Amino acid sequence: MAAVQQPGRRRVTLGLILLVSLTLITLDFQSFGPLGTIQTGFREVVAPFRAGGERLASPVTGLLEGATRVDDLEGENAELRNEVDRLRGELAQSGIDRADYEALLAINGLEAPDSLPLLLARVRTGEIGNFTSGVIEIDVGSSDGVMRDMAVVTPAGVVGRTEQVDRNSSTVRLISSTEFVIGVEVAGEVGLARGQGAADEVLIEQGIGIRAQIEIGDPVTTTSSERSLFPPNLIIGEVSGSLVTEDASNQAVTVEIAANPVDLRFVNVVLVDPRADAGADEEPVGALDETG
Amino acid sequence: MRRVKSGAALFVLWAFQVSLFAHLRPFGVAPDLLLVAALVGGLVAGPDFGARHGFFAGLLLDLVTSGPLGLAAGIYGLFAHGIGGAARTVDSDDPRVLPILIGVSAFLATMVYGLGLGVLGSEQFVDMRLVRVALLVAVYSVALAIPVRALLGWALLERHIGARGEAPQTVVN
Repeated sequence: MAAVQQPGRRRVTLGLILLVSLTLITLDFQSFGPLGTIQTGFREVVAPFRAGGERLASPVTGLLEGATRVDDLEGENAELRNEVDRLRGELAQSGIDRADYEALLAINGLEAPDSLPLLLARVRTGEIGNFTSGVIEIDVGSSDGVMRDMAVVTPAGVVGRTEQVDRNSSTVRLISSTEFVIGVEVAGEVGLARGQGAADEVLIEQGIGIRAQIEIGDPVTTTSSERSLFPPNLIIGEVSGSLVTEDASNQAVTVEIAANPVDLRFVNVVLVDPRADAGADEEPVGALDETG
Repeated sequence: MRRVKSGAALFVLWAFQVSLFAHLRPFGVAPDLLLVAALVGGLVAGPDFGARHGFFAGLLLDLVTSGPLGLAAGIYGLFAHGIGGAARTVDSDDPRVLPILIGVSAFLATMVYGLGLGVLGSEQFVDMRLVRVALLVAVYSVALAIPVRALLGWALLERHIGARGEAPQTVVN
């Protein structure tokens, strides 16, 4: 099948390949600039291929999905109709509330706080490979004003933060990922929460003392601390439970995520420079990436 | 010439991987065409060339995924080298050899890649799903080995017709 090759030469080749691989991995972990530029260039090249692949594959994937999920889709359709009815009611109520709120502001001579600048983004389908859980890709990038570590939200709350930002696309680290750490505020206490891999919860691991009065259902938001990369008061979710840690120094608080990070189609990027207000002398806590 | 042809073959497979196979994911798992290319490269061209071929196949994948750059390159190179060496110790005319070698190697390479990600900080990949992914990748790899072997056979093997009309010889070095 193959020609005979010298065993010594084979070992040298293999050794060199493993050495180069280890060097690349090390440089990648050190965020070596030129490697990032090359990867960014390749992802730009790939983008049209992926769009073409989606069009090519859609008849087959649509057929497979239709054949295997007819019952599920009918059920989902009924649920969505109910959801639309409920949201129509809430929308009407929120219109009334908004009018009351604006009337109160006018009576008291106050101005409404500026709403956050949001950029709508479509979630791209089609992960390359089988080891991409915890991230999604969106179709906006640095040319649209997106920067690394910006908050990514849906109307329900935070779903993640931008991680790799290319010219016309970005990857988003999801809030449920174990590599996602975020500064949070609950019942006046500031803590540090981490994704748990499960789609529906994060765990506040640090910062909540044992005397803190935390109740199930308390809202959890991003913190207003200057060290936070995210704007304050973005909704994370609500408390679903708490336990005193083994060393009795903290409470570990589980938080049910408000925005479901599964099957996302559209998201909003909060176009606020993550480092504009962060304290220069302190390490930021919101959206801290331990992997660098 | 062989390097140009093998580079072109890898590019074609890479284009399929990032387009069609980014969306075509039977049972939620995508086939790994570049792993198949690495393994078939080792089988067709031997451990030395196979290791280099596998390295570049893995590197092409590393460049477009969020995993650490160099991890797939090293693992694919290692397994391409291993399968090239293993192919010499077995009866290469036996039709069962190719699928078994490809299937076992693809399973192990995928497991090692997932465990490597775990060691490098992405522990979420180290669970029972990894075994399922590795098994399905192995099955798909066996199926895809046939067309990939045809493509790489064209790229890696140069045929020379004897001057007096002897049977063609296969040259890989």
